[in-house]
Amino acid sequence: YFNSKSDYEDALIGVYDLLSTTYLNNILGEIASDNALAGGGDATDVLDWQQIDDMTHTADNGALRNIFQWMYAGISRANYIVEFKDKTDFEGKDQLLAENLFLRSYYYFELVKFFGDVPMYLDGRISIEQSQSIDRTPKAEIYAQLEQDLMLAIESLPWEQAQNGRATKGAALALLGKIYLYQGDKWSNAATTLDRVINSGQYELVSDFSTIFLNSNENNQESVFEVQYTGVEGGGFGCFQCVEGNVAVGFMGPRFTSGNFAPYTSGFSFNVPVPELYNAYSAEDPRRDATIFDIEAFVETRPTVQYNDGHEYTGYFNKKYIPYAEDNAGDVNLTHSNNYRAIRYSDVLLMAAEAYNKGGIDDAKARTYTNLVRNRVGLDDITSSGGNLTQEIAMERRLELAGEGHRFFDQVRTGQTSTIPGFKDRNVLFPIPRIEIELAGNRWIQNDGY
Amino acid sequence: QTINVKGTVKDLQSGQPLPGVNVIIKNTAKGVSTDFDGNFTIQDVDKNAILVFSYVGYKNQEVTVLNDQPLTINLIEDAEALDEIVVIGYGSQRKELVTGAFTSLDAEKITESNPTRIEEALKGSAAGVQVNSNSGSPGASLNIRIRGITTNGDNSPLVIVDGVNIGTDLSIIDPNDIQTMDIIKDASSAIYGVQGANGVILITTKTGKKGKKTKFSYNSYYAIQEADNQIDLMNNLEYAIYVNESEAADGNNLPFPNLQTLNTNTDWQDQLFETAPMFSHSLSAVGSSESITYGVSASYFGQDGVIASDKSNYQRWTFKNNLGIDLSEKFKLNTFLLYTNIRSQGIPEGGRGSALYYALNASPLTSVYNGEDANSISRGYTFIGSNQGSEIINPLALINNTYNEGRADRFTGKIELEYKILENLKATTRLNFNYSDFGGRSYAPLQFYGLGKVVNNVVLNPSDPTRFNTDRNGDGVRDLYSTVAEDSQFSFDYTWENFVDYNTSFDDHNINALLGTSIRSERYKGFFGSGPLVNGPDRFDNAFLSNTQSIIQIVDGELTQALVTSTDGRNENRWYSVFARLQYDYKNKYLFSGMIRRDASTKFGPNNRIGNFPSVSAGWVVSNEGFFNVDAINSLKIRGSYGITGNDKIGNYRWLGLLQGTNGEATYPFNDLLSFGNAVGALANPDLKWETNHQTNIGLDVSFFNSKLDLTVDYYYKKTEDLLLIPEVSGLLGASAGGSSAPVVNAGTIENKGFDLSLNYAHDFSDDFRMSVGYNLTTIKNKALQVNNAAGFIPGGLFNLNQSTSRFQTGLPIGVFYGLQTDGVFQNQAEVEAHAIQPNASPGDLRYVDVDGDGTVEFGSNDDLTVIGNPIPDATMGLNLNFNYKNVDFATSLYASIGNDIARSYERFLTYSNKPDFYLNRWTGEGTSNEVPRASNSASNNQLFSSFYVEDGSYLRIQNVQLGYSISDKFLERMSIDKFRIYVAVNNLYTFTKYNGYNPDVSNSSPVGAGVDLGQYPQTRTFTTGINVSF
Repeated sequence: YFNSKSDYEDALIGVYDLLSTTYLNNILGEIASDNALAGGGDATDVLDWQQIDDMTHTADNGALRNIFQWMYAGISRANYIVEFKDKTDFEGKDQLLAENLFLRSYYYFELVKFFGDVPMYLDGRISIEQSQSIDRTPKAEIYAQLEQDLMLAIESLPWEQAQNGRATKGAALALLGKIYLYQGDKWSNAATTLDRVINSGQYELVSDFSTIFLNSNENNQESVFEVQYTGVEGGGFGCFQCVEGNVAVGFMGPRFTSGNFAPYTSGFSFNVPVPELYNAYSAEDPRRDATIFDIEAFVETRPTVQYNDGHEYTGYFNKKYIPYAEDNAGDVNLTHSNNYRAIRYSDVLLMAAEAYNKGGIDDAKARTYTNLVRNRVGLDDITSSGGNLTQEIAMERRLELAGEGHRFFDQVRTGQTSTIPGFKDRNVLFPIPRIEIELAGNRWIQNDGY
Repeated sequence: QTINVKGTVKDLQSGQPLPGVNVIIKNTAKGVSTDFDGNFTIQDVDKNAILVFSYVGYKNQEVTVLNDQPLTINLIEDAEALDEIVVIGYGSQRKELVTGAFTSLDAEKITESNPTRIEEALKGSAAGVQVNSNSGSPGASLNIRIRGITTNGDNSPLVIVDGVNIGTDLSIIDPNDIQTMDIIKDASSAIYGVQGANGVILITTKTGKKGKKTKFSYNSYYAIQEADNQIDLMNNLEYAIYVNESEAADGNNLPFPNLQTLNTNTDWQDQLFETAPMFSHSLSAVGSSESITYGVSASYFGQDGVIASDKSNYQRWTFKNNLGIDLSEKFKLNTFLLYTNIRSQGIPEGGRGSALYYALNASPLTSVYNGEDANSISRGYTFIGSNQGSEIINPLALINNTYNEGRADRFTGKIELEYKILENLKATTRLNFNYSDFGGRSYAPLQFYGLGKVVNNVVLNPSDPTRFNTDRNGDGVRDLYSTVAEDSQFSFDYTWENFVDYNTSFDDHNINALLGTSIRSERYKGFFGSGPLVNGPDRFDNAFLSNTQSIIQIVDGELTQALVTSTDGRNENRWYSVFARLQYDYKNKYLFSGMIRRDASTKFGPNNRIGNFPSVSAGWVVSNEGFFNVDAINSLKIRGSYGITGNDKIGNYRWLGLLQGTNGEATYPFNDLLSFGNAVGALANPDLKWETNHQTNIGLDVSFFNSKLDLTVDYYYKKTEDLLLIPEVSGLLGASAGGSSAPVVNAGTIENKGFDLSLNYAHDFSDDFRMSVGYNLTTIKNKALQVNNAAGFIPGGLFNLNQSTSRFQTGLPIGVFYGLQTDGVFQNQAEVEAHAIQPNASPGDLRYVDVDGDGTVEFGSNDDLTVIGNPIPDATMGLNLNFNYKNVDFATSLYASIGNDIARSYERFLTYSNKPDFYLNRWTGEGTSNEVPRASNSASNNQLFSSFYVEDGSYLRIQNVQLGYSISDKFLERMSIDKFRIYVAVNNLYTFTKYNGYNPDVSNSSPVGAGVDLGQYPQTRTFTTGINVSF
């Protein structure tokens, strides 16, 4: 293998493939946060998620293990290409290898977000014996590696790709900026990196916020990086990592039972927003109704519609990823085609604003970026600075990005965890799956408190 | 003085002349054989010399020569002598000289209970052999386990029919064709080396004997089947009360405030189950001519399912011929050919997604039919409300939408040439083969079972909800059609075996030596296709791939597609083997046997491709010693054996790393179009090696009271090392990606030990009254000595939606149930508070034991899980009784399994799911129940896998009761009929058990997950009438 350009291209598709599994990372980023409750059918419906919602998860949590396994599956496939990167030369190889490094960085960053220090291996596939001889790599070392890899990738990636969903220079810059930001002490690196995205002229905000998440508006001008999903294949509960659709979508949404609720379809009422989030929006902020689906208000306009409450009923559902009746013939639950907008331009603006503000670099620029986001939805400019501005940017981030899986990690990295029910000190990280510690030769020390 | 003696040898019973009978002058080497007409002449015989007439299958006869008058000798058939031959693999041996652990069944025993497959004949009739059914559906396979579970992988034994390894599908042979079955239970199976680890079943089919006239047999029965059991569920009122109570407990309004107005009371099981027929005809002729023996037969077997007999049925035709030809004095040609044709249809069964699972969980308040016609979106079947679960649908609607057919054409055969180099040296070469051409076709119409049901494959038209939305992109062109899938597969294997067999005797030493080689190849190829049924009518009889067509439409940049797809698969495996065996006895007293087989298998890489499998055994026939003088005991033998066998039953090419190919799971939808990439598939392990099974057997055969009572007892100890298993591996390896898996490694040790015992008593009380009793017992103690997985266990089994039930764990029997341990139900708040902290517990909830003693019952953690049951029975036993009085015969067989546990895993825990009726005894207040928790769905910790869901599955089953009447001989003689018997029988008459589910005989081909009852298709009770005729 790796004898021709197409061999490398095919292998790279295999690396992209694991992006589909990040549906789980994203829905947990909401459920764990103060934005939403687990919901579902009852208190043990997907117990793993319920426990993460309540911060009672243990090191035996299956969902956390899935994330651990799936991110490393992506890394392993990326390393397979790295292992043979010198075998055959062809035109466009630098760009292909750059996409590969971007993806590997994306997966490693997810692991660091969830678990902190994680074992890092980079050069190729490993054997069972080798898997039992790798220590947890300190987070700082992983970040240093990701910075190096992404800078390399940025050089070879184009701003535009022929196929939607491929990593671009903008995506790599935004991810690098985000990684700087998460480190909490590289504000100027973050600011300059994110500025390259902003100044590129490649992206602009979608004027009508309510259309950003529509299926018909995938890969729009605001999308810096987007995980691609399709409904054509169908899927099964036995292999979520095989599904080509967005599994999280089918788990969300109201439990409609009858009546005309077009264009939506019935879901499983997971990831239900809490009233506190709904009330955090001002009534004139169009993002409220574009982010949160108010079932009771909906039923008032559609009296024929009936639904079951589900567990932890709040009356609210995640509208950004609500299930629509659509072309997903294989199965109507697991393979919704709605892409996950992983990095939006507004996210980049707010990250840049945060960097400029927190780094004490330029509050005016921070306000400008924040106001771009606010003006888009018809809100007034903010005028604060310093610590107040920090608070306002954080609030803007919550409102702009609610339902997109960022909240929990934003809360943790900024220390604003007091509003998360059940949150204890240990919950700044998730536990490394106990079985993974055992399988890796019992050499890793569990995260504190687990 | 010498005389020339002439004479004729005949069969006493038939009067037919017997060719080839040995006639020897006693105490000399001088002798002749009879010719084709049974005549012989011996020159120059001393007067008063004794002639010994011997012939296989007949008792020897001695005649003293008095004069030269022609002699007529009538030889008497020796039925027992035939029984006493045991087929041991590449040969046979007199039973009294056998040193291994064998169990033999004869034709009568095999067909006694009208088995539909040979596995059924083994159940309860052979010590050491356990048979479990996977399902009671037509054509369902059964699992055979010889002496326990020796591997976490495939435990099925090797089955050899007339020298031909027929592979795993034992349905291909009509049980009526079988003369004997000999089961090798101990390390004597080492002669089959790599294939012998799970034991060997050697089947000999019926064929003619030299000198016997042609005998025709016709056996037929007709049976009516019914489900032997239904699970007791709540009726409409009980259900409504339970649901009300749940909703009230969870703080909701009562859904059924007025219990008097409940009209519908659907018994979904009644709706599914029906009685269904089963037919069997089998006609055979065995016979011979001067140089030919043959056994030719034809059979038909047809069975309809007790659920949806028009869509669940099985038909089998078989044609078989054994032909032996004496090409010359030295050359003999033996051929065997079996053709089997199978046609079958099936419905979804076996747990989630099956009609029965739906029937067990659907509300009795939902009607079956809604009065709409068959062209409506519901096709006339009521939708099951989504509050009963998005995966629970109307089981009859499911059956209505199920269309499939399977077929198999299969040839099994051998061509064998024997050459007698010397009188006692024989060379054999034979070519065995199995050719199988099989495939199927299925059709999935557009189906809709109500909103949000997971099995829907179509949504409703948004503008007209009485129609399907078959134009998904709204461009006015239909783009959604029913789906057709077809497959065509073939497999071919051949084995070419060459062996020489030498036997000699000198001074009371008897030696038999065997040396041989074997080459085997198995090839498989399959083609699979599917696509939308675009052309022609939307019906099953039009549902062929040739009528499908790909659809790709792009409207407003959005792609809609339904593609005709195809894929194929192929593999080949080869084995090269040499084997040798030496058997020795001294005066039939001291017995010894040693064998070795050396196998090379392409399942393994060059590092570890070759394995050696030796075994030795010895025996002492105590009763042949001069000092042995116990009147009651007419034979006593002590045996012992030890040996090593191998197992290579793993997937193909697992020592090699393979890529998934473009049909794998390395896909990503760029631009909404799936791009098919490539990635590493199952991970490789180039150092894979044999799984080896070390087995020790000590046995005793005793025969009392002129062989009226026979006892065989064996103790066995089996240890399987280097188990081939797919362990949990670190996530770092990336094996959890779609289409990949961890490598197969050699990591684990299992032991099985126990006794098997059989006791047979037969006595003819008078000419009119005979009886026989057979009893057998098997005990098994299974333990995983080592599971070299870092976690120390491998999980399996399924409970609720995603909990596992079972473990393969160091120190425990394989497949033990592992979960929370309950110790009652909380009766009041004080008890809750006094107990270790149990999150969300209220009075009426299950009390869980704080196993790790840390003061908290932790859900979702392994810390408070423990062993809560074992699916492997401590003992199984069978009892067979036969009585004959004059023309009437009566037979019955019982089977018991003791100490096996079952995990009840067919409940869907939703407020509106129906429940088994033991929930009527639920906790409703202090002191009401200490076993069954309260009605509440928010108390969902009660729905975690715990000992509440594990039941004792011990049972005693009356397998068969049969009463027959044979028409008297005198009448038959006039009609030239040997036997004319009619009978009535009931199979599976009654099962005594405390188990609440359908059937305590719950199986699962995977050892980890065995005994988990997912709503298994119940066994059927059959009422049979039949005839046996031979003439």
